[in-house]
Amino acid sequence: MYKYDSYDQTFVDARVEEFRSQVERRLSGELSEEEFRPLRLVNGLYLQLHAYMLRVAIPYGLLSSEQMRRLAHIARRYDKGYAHFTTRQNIQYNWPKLVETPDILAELASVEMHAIQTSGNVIRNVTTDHFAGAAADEVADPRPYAEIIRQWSTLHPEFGFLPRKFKIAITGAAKDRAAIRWHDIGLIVKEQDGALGFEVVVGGGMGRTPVIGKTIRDFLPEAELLSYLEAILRVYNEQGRRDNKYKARIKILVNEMGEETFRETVESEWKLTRREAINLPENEQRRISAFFKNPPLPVLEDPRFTEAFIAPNFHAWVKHNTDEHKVPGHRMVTISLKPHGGIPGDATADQMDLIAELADTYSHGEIRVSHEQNLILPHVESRQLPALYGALVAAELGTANAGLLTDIIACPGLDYCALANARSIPISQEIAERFDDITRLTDIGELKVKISGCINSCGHHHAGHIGILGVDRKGVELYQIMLGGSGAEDASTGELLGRGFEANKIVDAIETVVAVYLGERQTEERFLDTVRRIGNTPFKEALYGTA
Amino acid sequence: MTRKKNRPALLIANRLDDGIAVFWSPNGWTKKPTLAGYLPDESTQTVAEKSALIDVDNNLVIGPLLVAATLVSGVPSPDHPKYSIQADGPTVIYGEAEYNARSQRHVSNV
Repeated sequence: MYKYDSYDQTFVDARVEEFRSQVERRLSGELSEEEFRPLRLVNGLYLQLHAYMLRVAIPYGLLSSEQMRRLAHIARRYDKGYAHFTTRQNIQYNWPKLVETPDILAELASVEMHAIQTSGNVIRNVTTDHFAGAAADEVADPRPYAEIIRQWSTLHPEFGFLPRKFKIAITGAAKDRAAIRWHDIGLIVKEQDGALGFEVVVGGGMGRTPVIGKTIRDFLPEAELLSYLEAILRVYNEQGRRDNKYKARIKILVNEMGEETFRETVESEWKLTRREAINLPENEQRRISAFFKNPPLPVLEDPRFTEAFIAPNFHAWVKHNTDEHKVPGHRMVTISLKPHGGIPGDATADQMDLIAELADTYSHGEIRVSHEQNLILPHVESRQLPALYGALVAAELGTANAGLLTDIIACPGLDYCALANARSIPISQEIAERFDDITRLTDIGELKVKISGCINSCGHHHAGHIGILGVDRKGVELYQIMLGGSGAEDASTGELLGRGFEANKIVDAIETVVAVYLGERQTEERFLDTVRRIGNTPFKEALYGTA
Repeated sequence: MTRKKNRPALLIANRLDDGIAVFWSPNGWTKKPTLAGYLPDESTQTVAEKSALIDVDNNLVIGPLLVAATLVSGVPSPDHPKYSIQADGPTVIYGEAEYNARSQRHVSNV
């Protein structure tokens, strides 16, 4: 993984001391809250309902075991012994004290981490495929590009005051595991005539106006990445709306200009500036790529696991929670942070320490964080799976539900978030407990449920096969259902079924939706494909009695 | 701050140094919602507001907000779920407590 050089370390250390000074000045009254607020936000520090919340970037979702241990230590020493992995490959602490935040940032800096640009109208943490570098279906490892973009975008002087926040995701695989088309800019690494480059997708986003991003360039040569990104950002920075924050994202600009005009404007800007802009020097690209070489992984035979020595549900766990690695005899293991009845994305400090230990034992010290709020051990020998599974089960981390109905994405919702209108966590817990049966879950198959507690869509409800949106109607939490969304390569926006359900009715409603699917599906047909084939009418009839 | 015209209220804020939700009372800020000052009318709300704004200036609290409230068994309770949750904390147990409770509650078969 990428290692800080002395410049990186000096820079991050300096930021810690700068923030320490800002906090001191705030506490002494030298800075007002109005003056301090933007300073704390660009360091990832929010004020939520009950306390401050610190959002820490996990660049492209990659963590070392040492970093995970430090995150656990921070949870234990400065918070309440747990933390929350988010839908953008970040980790959040829900109870840090302002006075201790500089010390937390110093702890993070000691393991080459920070919280810079995890908030504010800037380019946020660059996200990618959590299987990057290990996936069998990959054209190229996207992480070196993500790191290059991270370095380019961090405190970029031109893009520190964008009209609104800006999110970039990149994948190197045909199967989209990074919700590429839901980002302000999505990049898909492609190979053309033996050369690498990028399909460039722009203007995706969720929030109150869900938009699937549009491809504005089918193939951008690899070396031109930064100059092209700079052209897009420049057009957005100059022409994006600043008069209304609800219309300030790039998706609105693309829509208002029209896709073709936007593309032409970017291309014109690029032609003017590309020679002067920073392109990717080949030696620098090679230097950064070298950090992402996989550990030596011998080609091995895949073992055959007999029933005799296998724990209950092991086969289901292997089927759902492990994926094909590019090196035979290895698997990528998804550690579910969705135990039934638990809080999606939460992990205790002890669990984080255990995962660090398991990463050292089984995965060359490497961990990934997925936007689906799970953790991944990317390089596990298949023959080690029974031992790993046993250790995970003992720590409530062995739930065999990756990609299934109970692998629910949920934002923190009204239990923590100052913006939320309704609670997400209790709904996800109740759904998971209602479907707490491996035979039933396996029969239902792939089904992505995503819950947001408000229209800001941190729970990605627009992209859920079943999306649930919590709304507030005169002080009553109601939950609307939408069907047919997807965050994958077949990206689509879910369609609202009808009026919302009260909290004590929403789980029954989800069960009804699933029953309609089971009654209507054709052989081997996924939930999403059934919805796309039959439309929403049968579901509406079952829920509301009329279409 | 938004005045709660003709509606009783309580005054909620976050403490500056640790961000913890606190409630105005005639005896000072308290973490305990049961000790929050009940502000039944505009005059009591005005007094509380002025007091809170002084504490904002003194860098003790941030974001003071009057929220509609009702007396329940003699204790002021926010009317809106958002502020009830802010007053009482998350409605779900979390961290080690959640882990332990779940482990004891049931054994999942997944």
